[in-house]
Amino acid sequence: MTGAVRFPAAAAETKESTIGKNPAAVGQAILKRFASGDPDAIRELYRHYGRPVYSVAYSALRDRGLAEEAVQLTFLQAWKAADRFDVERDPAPWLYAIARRAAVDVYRRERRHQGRIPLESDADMAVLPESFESTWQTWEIRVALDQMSPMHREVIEATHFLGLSQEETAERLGIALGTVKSRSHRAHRRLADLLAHLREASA
Amino acid sequence: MKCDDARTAFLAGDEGQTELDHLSSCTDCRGLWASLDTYRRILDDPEFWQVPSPALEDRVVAIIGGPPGPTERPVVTSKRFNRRRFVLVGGVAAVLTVIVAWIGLRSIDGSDWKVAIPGTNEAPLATGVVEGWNEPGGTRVVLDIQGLAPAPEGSVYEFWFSRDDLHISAGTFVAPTNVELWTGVSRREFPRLWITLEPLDDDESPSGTNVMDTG
Repeated sequence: MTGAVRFPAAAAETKESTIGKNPAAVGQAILKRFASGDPDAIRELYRHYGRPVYSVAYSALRDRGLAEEAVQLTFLQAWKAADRFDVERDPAPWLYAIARRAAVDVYRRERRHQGRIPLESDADMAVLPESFESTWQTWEIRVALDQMSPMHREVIEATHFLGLSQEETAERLGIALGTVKSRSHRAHRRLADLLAHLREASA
Repeated sequence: MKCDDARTAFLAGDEGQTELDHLSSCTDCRGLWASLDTYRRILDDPEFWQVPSPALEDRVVAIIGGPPGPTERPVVTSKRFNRRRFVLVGGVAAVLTVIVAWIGLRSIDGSDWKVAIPGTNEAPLATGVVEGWNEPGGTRVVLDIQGLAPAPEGSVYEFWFSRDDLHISAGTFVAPTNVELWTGVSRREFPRLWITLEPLDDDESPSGTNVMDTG
């Protein structure tokens, strides 16, 4: 099975971002400071969205150095456009769109520098690798995880990143197996709920 | 079997035959199965869990000229450079990194200064020119380099402004073509310009692999 969600093209217009429903999302006061050109606000913005931006860049580029470069470009471009940012709107789709664009730019620059395609080959440059296909879902999953409690994130990370069984997770976290089972169920249920809007969009 | 339970079990990778039967037979769940599979595939990808380096926050802030944070660059000692102490100035004025590929669109006329940067024994075929613009709060430089191969995988080039043992990074790049960098210091204060090849590790001091140097 492959992912069937069709979304990124409309990302900049969506009002369904999980960030928008997140009470811990960046406050409007910070957004106003950002939009008015207050450089202090960029650190706050990074602390809220730096990880999702990095996740998008890394998942697309598969290179730490290039991904970090794309993150820097993302926030630089967001900063340059800050005076046009509508503080009444959720910044997440806007930042996602900038992040993906930055990753595409870095990817194409690298291809040019590697001499794999001539500069004038626009048709070839329009083709992006498969790693760019799921960047919106990657963004939303990262944002969703950031909204969850550390306890729930911990068990999800143990399951998916570390690939631990529930028994191994219990041992690693120092909790009872039954606790791991119930916590894992609640964590994944919560994650599924946070991603429900994406499923609905693809249905 | 409830839909939510079947979906949750699948997302967690705990699905059994009962859950699979439900997902394939339930009209509502069948349509969402592909999406759930995508989420699970992303979660199972170790690359998804990669974290950016802690220094990235400061670099992002530095790009736009924001104030330094409390955890910025510590004083470090190079482990690879004959125990020589390198002091990396903390703060926004210390390290500002921006890497922009201009792809031939940018004119480099009107710079405030220009200096040749020859290759060292590590890169004897490399030649280049660094052009600089003195700007409020720092210096913008554009590198025009020939004869230097792109950095090998797992490494980057890093451009330094130095005075004695004080080394200020202006940023990193992979391919030495059409690179623009910015730093919060001036060439008048830090006259030596040099480029090192750096492994992608947590050591923020110069590696000692000096590939180009104005001397």
